[in-house]
Amino acid sequence: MHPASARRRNAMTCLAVWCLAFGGCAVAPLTQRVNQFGGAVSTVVPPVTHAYETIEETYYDGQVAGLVVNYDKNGFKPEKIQPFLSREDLLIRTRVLDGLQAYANALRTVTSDKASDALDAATTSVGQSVLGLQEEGVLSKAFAKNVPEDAISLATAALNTLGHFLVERKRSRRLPTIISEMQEPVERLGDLLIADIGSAPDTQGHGGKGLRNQLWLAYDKLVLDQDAFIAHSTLDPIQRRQEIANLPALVRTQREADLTLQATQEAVRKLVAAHQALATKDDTGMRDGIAALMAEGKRVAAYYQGLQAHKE
Amino acid sequence: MPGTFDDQTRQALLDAFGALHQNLQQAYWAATSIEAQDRIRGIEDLVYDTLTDLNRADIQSHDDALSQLINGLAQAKGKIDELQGQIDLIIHNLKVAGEVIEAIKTASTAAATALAQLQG
Repeated sequence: MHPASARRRNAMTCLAVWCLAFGGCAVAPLTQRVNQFGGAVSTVVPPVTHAYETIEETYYDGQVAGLVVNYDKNGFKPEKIQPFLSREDLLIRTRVLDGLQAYANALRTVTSDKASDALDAATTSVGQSVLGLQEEGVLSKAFAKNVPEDAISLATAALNTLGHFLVERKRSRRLPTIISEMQEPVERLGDLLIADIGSAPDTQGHGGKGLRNQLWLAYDKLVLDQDAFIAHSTLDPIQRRQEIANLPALVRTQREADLTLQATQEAVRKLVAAHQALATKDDTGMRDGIAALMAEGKRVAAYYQGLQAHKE
Repeated sequence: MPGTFDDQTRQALLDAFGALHQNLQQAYWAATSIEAQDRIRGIEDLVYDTLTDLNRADIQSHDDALSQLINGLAQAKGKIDELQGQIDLIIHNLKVAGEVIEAIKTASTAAATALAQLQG
């Protein structure tokens, strides 16, 4: 074997191992963490959206219950029926949640295996085309002597590795900056959503605020209006029984609805933590990556040595 | 108006009216006549409306900060999309390389065929 050719092969093999070291293996933990963050966003957005809808529905139910029980005294005044939050207030929240979802989706796309698959397909296509040139005899005309087929395969593998390296270099240079720039806004968003949801009042009526307070009060009102409705109505025993049974059901729903909002706040906290984890170096993942790298390095070295032995 | 209060004052009002609401609730269930209950409920409706205004104002006080975050999220997505574009370009360049080689092969085959015809 020609020493210059051996040096070229050594260089290509070194390049392949080096690219594997600083390219493909390093991305696996980030992809995992991006998927966890994307999963957290997909889990959090629907219940947060549902929280605003629930309060609107309960507030409306409270208005209807008040109308029913006070109808003989006050009549119906259409202008009294109003939403709890304005259309603009809800639109801001919808847009910010959509923006968060779009950000998470973009992160998932850019770290997904799609680019890797497309790169493999493109380099395989290049390799096949070069082999085609070999079969057509174009290479032998161009280089005066035949180019070994395994050299073409090795060059294709090196090209593939180089492509992966370039993609990973782009990612590793830009993504950490984008993610760390977004940590503060994501924390701020989490704080604002948690503040929107607020807290239920204690037994003294203190500490209540936001959606949880409004929901709690709306159910208190529903219970009182339901009780007044029963007191003022001339119901038959079966109807009366059904209406009375609604009282404890309302109390139970009040507690369950509040617990759901509390759980939503916890989910928002986890989302913020999941974003924080994107910017944090994962030692376990790194160790796994290094182990995978070493195995891959040995495989490439064995492949290369096998090629050399075959030629000699 | 509840919207004009700072956070601390608003919370103090929420606590004060919240305590009143709690007392009225207890008074309602303790009342022995429907008339007394109706009077308490009438006051409770006013307290409920005030607490609703305060809760609404509390949530609306986050509107500006949330609006600012919409732009930040859109900009971050734009930067990620740009990065995706650069990655796509690397893959595109590799595809083009394959296409160029394919074109060389086609041209070479055509040239060989033409040469054979000329020699024949």
